[in-house]
Amino acid sequence: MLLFFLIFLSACATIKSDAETHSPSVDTTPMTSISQDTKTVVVTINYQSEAQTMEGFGAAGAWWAQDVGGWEDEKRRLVADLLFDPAKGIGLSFYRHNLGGGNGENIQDVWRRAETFEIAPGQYDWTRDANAMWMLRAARDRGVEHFVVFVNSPPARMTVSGLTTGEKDGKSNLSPEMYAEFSQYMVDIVRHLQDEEDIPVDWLSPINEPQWGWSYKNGQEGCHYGPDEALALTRVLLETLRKNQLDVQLSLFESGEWKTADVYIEKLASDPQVWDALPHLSIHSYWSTRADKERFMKYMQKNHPGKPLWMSEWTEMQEGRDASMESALIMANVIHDDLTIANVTSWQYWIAVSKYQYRDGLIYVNPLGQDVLQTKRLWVLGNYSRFIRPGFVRLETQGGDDTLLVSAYRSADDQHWVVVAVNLANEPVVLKLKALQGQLPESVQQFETSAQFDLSSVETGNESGTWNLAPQSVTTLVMDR
Amino acid sequence: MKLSKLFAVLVVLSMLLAACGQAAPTTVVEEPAATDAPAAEVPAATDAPVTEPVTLTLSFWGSDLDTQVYQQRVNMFMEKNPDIKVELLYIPSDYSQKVQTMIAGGTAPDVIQLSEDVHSYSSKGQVISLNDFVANDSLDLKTRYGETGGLTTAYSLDGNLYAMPDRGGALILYYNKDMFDAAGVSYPTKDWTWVEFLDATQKLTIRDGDTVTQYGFAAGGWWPWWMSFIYMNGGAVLDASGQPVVNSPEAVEAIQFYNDLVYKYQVAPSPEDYANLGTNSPDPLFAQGKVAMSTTGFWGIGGLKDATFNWDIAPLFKNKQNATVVFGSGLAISKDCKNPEAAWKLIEFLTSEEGQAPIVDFKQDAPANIANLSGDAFLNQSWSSKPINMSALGDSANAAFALPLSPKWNEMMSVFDTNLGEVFANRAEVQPTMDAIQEQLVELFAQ
Repeated sequence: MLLFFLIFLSACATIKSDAETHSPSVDTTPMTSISQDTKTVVVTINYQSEAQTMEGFGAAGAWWAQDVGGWEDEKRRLVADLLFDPAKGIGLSFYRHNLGGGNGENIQDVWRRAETFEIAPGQYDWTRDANAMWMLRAARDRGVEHFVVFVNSPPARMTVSGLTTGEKDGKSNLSPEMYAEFSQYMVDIVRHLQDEEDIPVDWLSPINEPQWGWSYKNGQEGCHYGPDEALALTRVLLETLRKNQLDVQLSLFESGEWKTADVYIEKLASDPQVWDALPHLSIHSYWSTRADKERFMKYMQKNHPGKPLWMSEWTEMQEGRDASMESALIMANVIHDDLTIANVTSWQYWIAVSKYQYRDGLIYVNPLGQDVLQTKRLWVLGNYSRFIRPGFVRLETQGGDDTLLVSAYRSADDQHWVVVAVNLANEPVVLKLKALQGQLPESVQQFETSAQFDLSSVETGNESGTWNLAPQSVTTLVMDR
Repeated sequence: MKLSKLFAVLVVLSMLLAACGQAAPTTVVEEPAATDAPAAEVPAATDAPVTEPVTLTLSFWGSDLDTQVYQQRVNMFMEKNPDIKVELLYIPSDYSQKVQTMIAGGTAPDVIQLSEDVHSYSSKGQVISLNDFVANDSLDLKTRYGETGGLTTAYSLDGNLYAMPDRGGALILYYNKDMFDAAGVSYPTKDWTWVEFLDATQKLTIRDGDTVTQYGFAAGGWWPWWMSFIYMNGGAVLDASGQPVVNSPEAVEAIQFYNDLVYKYQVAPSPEDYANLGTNSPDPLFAQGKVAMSTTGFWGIGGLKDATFNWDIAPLFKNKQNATVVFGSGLAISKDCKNPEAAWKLIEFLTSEEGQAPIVDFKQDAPANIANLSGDAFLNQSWSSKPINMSALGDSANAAFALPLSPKWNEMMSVFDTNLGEVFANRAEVQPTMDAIQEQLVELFAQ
């Protein structure tokens, strides 16, 4: 809890030291002008109705950390601060470190290659992947609490094709005789990260989007596993973890979408020992609609109630850069749905940093000049990540409408409440909050991300219990008892 | 995340465009080239209002090919209408949700590509009636879309037309002729019944021990696949008065037969089989030569241009009657469009014979305009190394059933997907599931 207070104190300080973070410097600023015609939306927080307990918010280190981690110190620190520092940035509580398969010579884009530590079976060169390791340490040093090590492909020598991009016809590329060796390889590396690097790796994710036919022609690492193959690898890996007495849990199975996840879930659930060993199921929100998530949850409630879910990868699949609120609101819509429909306990963005002409990345960079451009997506994710800390409980809400998406959370000791309101409309709105069977804390701070502000502290000066929300904005209300 | 090939190009572009560290513009505006030509005379300053060029946005979904074809078509329009600029807005994923978000944010596209969920928009007043535009232009919809009016009936609600049909075509049967020849099975026709269809799928399925190496048929959970079986069997989703009738004996029998193809006869892949094969759709399996028959829209032809085997198309077979889904997409005007007249002008052109020509030229899809659909360019085009049976399209059009479109289409589909998903995964029985769907739809329609 001490950490929590520090985070909030520093969050307030953030705005005053914004010059350091290259975000606009704003103190408490009067904002949105409200007329009598402004719509008022009443949202009731049900104090007694607890949904999931949050584990945290994060992003992946794939495709950038192995470059940016080697930039000149001031530049790489800036990126790390923006992502991981709860005072200067958005204070992510999760980081997905990519364990590369190496031998990516056939991958044209060097950012998509990832080194492996392995130099021969059972032998490792721990000086490799130094840039990504710098970023991993930077995340830890800035207070990231949870680490996932995820694998897109086994090392090339363990694959059928000899390449980390996939098998010729998109079948499983892990050689059948390599299941044990691949498992030991991952265990060795996680142990090194935990023991020698002091990185608290909580979860190991050995499989990524297994349902897709990863062909070796792809320009990125990938490996297909059929449901039986995914189960077989999981069994071997669990046994290897047990023999090595490694303190890490498995994160499975990074489904590429919600629609077809059930096939793998049924297979994993068919083995009670495997199923009971899985702390959660990780799903990606690509190519998924709200209806897909609703259908999936009905399936889970009927067949596997109580298994926690993670949304462990998403970015908008759209060409062209956008650093504005337009794409940030699309992301906020997905976050809101994942938190309130799929009840995910962790929400993790895909590549935190992008050099591409695509709507990915929380930060755009130009590798040649080592330039950094913050996006509104960064700050909107911060509306959640900086304030909803691990251990917070989501509370059910009633109210809101198609254009005002509200979710609420409170700390385990009930001393701190956080409400996030996404106003999709191009008009201001007045949010009136009520608490059912409980009392709202009275001390309130308001942080807004909008065309004008980047997670900045604002004041609306309304009557108690109501707040003015700017058009097309995401606002976090932080309430302390 | 799995990304497309186009990404490789974007990498290079990004390095060039992002050099200043600012977000590069998504739209590149070309500056006029410096020339030696005399500058145009500068008009004298006047108080007369200046006519600003109109800019319209058009949103659509699809593939790189779709982008190419829409661009070609709007370029043709802009050449004829230099005062109207059209910007394409390609939304490759989560289309409806994103368009709804844009509408909510007051940034709706002016012209919106819509399909079966058109009345989810029209019933909320998010798109406008096109009746006055049609009337003012004295546009004869039968001339444009054929005697039945094509999808204009489906895209109308309470006498108002909300989208002009743009692309169309029926669900048709694709079959691998080499596999049929090898199995000694005669090619499919519209007169096949389910008995002949099942017999063919069994002869066309090849096993190596317990492993199927070639499937006779492949389908899945997409609504046109299973819904066409219901109508083939004399069933329906909604009756003539618009009330749900999905647990009729005909509908239940149809879904049972459809699912038996997977689990009883094992001639079609299950969801688990799809996962093992690394896909979630029959189209790539057909193109890879792993499936003897699959059903999809006319756009499936584009994916077969490099096929190394002989293939052809046929109308769907029947049971009690021939029935197939005729789907497509239409173009609607957003209620927030500032220049609805210009938007209509665009839509009118895109659905004209001239505006539809690139759909055929690029082998994108079946055009909605009857002149293009029945024209030589479409019927005689070289779709394959060998002639294919283009009459399948006409036969299919005759067997089209009226789509059960309603303002609650999305909610209806959600009920189907949630419940039938359990049947198709072999976790639920057909009869109680169809009963549950019926009950939920009755409740939905009563709201």
